[in-house]
Amino acid sequence: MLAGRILRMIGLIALVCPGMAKAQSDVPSRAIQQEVLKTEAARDEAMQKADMAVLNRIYADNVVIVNTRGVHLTKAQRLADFQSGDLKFLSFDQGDYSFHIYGETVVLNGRANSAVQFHGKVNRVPRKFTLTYIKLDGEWRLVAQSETLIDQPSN
Amino acid sequence: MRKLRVAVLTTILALGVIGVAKAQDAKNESDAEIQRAILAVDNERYEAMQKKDMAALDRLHADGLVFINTKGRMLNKAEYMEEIRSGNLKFLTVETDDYTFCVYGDTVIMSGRAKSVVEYHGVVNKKPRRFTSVFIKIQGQWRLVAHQATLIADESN
Repeated sequence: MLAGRILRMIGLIALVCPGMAKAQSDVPSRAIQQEVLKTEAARDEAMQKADMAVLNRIYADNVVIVNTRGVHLTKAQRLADFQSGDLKFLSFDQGDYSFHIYGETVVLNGRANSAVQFHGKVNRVPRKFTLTYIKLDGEWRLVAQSETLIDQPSN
Repeated sequence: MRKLRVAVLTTILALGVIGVAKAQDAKNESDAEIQRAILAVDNERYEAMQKKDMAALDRLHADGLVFINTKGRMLNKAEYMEEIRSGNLKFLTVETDDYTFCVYGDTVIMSGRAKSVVEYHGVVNKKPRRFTSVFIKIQGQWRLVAHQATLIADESN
């Protein structure tokens, strides 16, 4: 009787777990794109307002950031730049997105034409970026960000 | 009889729990192994680029590859492979270091510095650059899905 119950429980768990995994992998890519875009919109707004709580939530603890000067920054360094005002958006213009979805990893590419002030110096040169988002603990978090100026005159 | 069944089931459950715990240990231990595997794949990729081994390059790059070079030009897999096949993109030397790895299951972020000498459309570039590569294990093979390179600015600039 008891053994029968245990066996039924094990059977039920075995049936439910693969079902959950399948349901996760069947999330339509359009829905994932919308989720990531929503997170990206929240990040954009937070960067302009220096909303540290939102930025802290969206940037993964081990995020790898490479800015347009080829400097590798940690999360703490990036957040400090926003908090201190060393990094400011004077205008915000970003688009031309393309998505590649690999399960719960999303590679988002785009172009930014924003005017950015970094340590007093204003940069208006358009740039290409790659953002990698991963769903961690049920939330999309930015794990990597790279930026490259388009047609750098020094190259 | 009932006691025997319960004992057998308890043993099976206990073995299952031990198995899961061992699997988690193995997962914890595997980050260093994953880093080595990624470095091996990246070395293989550079070797394939130098030898124009298109079959190896096809295997090591995901179909959805997005490659952004130091000029901010975005290439897909076909465009990137054509640059190598045609000789427009040549690695005259390969030198990379200062790696950072972040492992998220089957996704790995690798960042580093490259001092390789690269010839691109006839122009030789020796300037150091920072790169970020995203590798994902797809059908048992680590593949490059995204790569972006940015020139390291001269500090006096």
